[in-house]
This record gives sequence, structure tokens and C-alpha cells, in this order.
Amino acid sequence: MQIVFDHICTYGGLRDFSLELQAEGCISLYDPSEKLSASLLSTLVGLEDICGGKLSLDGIDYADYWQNHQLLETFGYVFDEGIMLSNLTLKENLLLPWRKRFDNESDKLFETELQNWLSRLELNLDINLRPALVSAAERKFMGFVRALMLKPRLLLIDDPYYLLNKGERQKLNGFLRELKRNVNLLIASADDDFIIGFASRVISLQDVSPA
Amino acid sequence: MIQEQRKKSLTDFFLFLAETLGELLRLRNNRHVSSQVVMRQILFTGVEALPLIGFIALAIGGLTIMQGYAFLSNFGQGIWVHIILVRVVVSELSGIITALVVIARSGTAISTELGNMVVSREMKLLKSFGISPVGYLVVSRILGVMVAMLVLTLYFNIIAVLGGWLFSQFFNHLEFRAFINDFLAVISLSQVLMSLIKSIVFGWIIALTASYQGMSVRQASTEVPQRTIKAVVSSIFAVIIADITISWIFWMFS
Repeated sequence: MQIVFDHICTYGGLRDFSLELQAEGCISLYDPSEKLSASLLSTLVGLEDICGGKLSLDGIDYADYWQNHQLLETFGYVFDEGIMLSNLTLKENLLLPWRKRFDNESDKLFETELQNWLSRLELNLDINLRPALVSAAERKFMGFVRALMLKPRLLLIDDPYYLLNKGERQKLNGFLRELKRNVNLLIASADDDFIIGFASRVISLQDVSPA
Repeated sequence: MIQEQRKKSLTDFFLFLAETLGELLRLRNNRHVSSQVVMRQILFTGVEALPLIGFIALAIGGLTIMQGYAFLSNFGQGIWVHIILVRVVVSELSGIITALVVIARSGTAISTELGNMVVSREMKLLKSFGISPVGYLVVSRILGVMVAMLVLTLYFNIIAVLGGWLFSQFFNHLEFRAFINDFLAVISLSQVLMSLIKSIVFGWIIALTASYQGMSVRQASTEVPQRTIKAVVSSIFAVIIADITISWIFWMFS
């Protein structure tokens, strides 16, 4: 997928920002401030409104692109905080976007997919609990499961290590190393683990200063 | 960021109202994701409020009959106490009291829940799925509260009438059938209709106001109780103004 930011301004953190990237394989966005990269990912999934410039996906204007594509089939977004809807159980949190993404797929397939990803991530928790009753790290891992079950073209990951302890970081790093073989990843991080020897391409946003 | 820091104005409320109506028209497209929220809202606002509403209705019906008998019997007109029950309870009190209970329970809950969801960035999560937070969270709650208000008001009326009959036994023994016959003789279709229309309108006002205030929280959790207080005060004002307006319209055309 070709993504072009052409002098983009958003109501969030992007000011006259330009970047062109071919989002295939694993790309890391190195951003010590973490604000610019988070804004970039947010803008891609429509969380930040564009107030100037032009954003295009595969050569098509961003607004026009969604007339023929669904957001969930294009981008999967893993928030830094592992956000879940507090009024739903973990399972319902996963079912909500699943039903929107795969309108005609059966719930049985959902269960199979869910068990597959839970075992790959070695997660052993009661998915009928509300998010508030599990740890922040478990919520974060469930955020990965939710995004991956939707089979997006590009998985956007904001600060993968946020909220994780050393052991959990190692576990996630191993998982992402395995994942990057089959899934296109765009990772926003300032951690060396994702900058040195991890991604096929590293884009430094260090010198791009928000106005 | 610039937009988020701007102070909320009346224009924002009407924009929110327009967005809500727009999402309501698109409800068919989101039915598979929002029916669960509607059902939960009906359960919380309607079913779980039945004991409290029942208790209040029984007391109001009974006290109205008691006071009515005590007053009208002085003039030998005790039989007309049913008119008071119809005029005061069915036409006016049932809607208002049910609305106050729903504001206290559900209005505060909706405002608090949505406010906390804004703070914990759950609205952004929904947007990242391509799901409109207004369509999924607000419209579903509005529908749920409207249905619950309608059912609760009907329930209030039935229990209040039964309470009235129960209390009337203390003054003079009256057959239930005779009591109901007297009651049906004085009640009119327009009064029942007015009561039901009021309940639906009140439900819409309460859910819309509470949702607007909840969604108006910007970033801090300290804003949540402030917005909840605003939701309660605004809802009470709006419900009373709507009550007066609807009663006046029916009075004009009766």
C-alpha cells in the first residue's frame, strides 16, 4: 500500500508534514517525542481531522478511498493503551468490529479464530470478563488479537511496549518477529528493539519538527 | 485540538441533535451492532426501575385517593375522587414522576458512562472501527430510554390506579369492577394519549441531554461529575417545559 502525506496539517499534531511510504513488510517510525508518530497513525485511521494538505492511499485521495474500501479491512489499529469498550466484555469487544468487518461470517469461525490467536499469544484469561477486571497488559494483548482477527492490509501499532513489563516486552517482541513474516506492520516506537535489526525500513521522524 | 478547547455553545447542542437525527435515519445499517446497546438500556432504565416506580405509583395513587376523599367528602362529593386520579395522576404526575426517576437513575448513568468513555478514549476506538460513537452509543440509548419511559409510564398508571382502589377500601368498600367502571367513565382517550406522548418525548429529552453532556467531556475525569450535574438540571428544566407545552396543546384542542 502506498501512503503519501503531502504537506498535511491536522487538528492534532501534524503541521505541514510530508512523507511517502510503501507500506509493505515491516516499517518502524522512529520518533523520540512519540507525538508525531501517534498523530500520523491516528490520521490514517481518521481519528485526526485533516485541515490542510493532501493524504492519499494507493494514489487515491483519502476521502475518496473509503467509497470503495472499508476501514477495518484496510487498517488495524493497536492503541498504545490497549483501549477496550468498558461496557462490553472482552469477547464482545472483539465481536463488535468482527461483525462489522465480516458481516456474513459465522460466530463459530469467530470462536476458532479467537482461540487460534489466544493460543499464539499464550493468553489464558476469561474472555467473558469486563476489561476493567483484567490487567493493562492483558488488555493490550487483547488489542492485538482484536486487530489481527480482522485481517487488515496494514497493522498500525502505536508504541508496542507501552504498559508492558520486561517479560511481557520480550513475549511481544517474539510474537511481532513471527508476525512480520505474514502481516504488513507500521510500528510507531522510540524503542531500540524496533529500530535496530527489526524492521525492513526505519523512518526517522526526529528531524521533522511539529510547527 | 483547537476545536476541542473551544467552549460548548447552544450551536454545538443543535449540531449534536442534527448528528443524532442523521444517525437515527441510518439506524438500519448499524442494527447488528447497536441492538445489544438498546436492549441493555431498556433493561437498565425500564426493567430495573420497576420496583421503585411501582412503590412510588402505589403511594401516589393511594395518597391521591386518600386526600381526595378527605376533601370531597366534606361536600358529599366523594364519588368524584376518580376524576382527581385521572387528572392529576394519569395526565400529569405519572409522566413527570417517572421522568424524574429516569433522570436520577439513567440520565446520570448515561452522562457518567459516556463521559468516562470519552476520557478513556473509547470514542476514538469506535471511530477506528469506522463506527460512529453517536450512532452506536447515543442513538441506541435514546431508543432504549424512550421505550423504557413508555413502558414505565404505563406501569405507573396501572399501579397508581390499583393503589387508588386499594386505599379507597379504607373509606368505603367499593367493588374493584365498580371502581374501574367509574375510572373508565371519567378517563378519555386523549388523556391516555397525552400521557403516552409525554413519556416518549420525556425519554427522548432525558437521553439526548444526558448523552450530549456526557459526550461534551473533553479530557479530564473531573469534568464528568460537572457534566452529570448539568445533565440533571437541564433535563429537569426541559422535561417541565415539554410537559407544560404538551398539556397546553392538548388543552387547546380538547
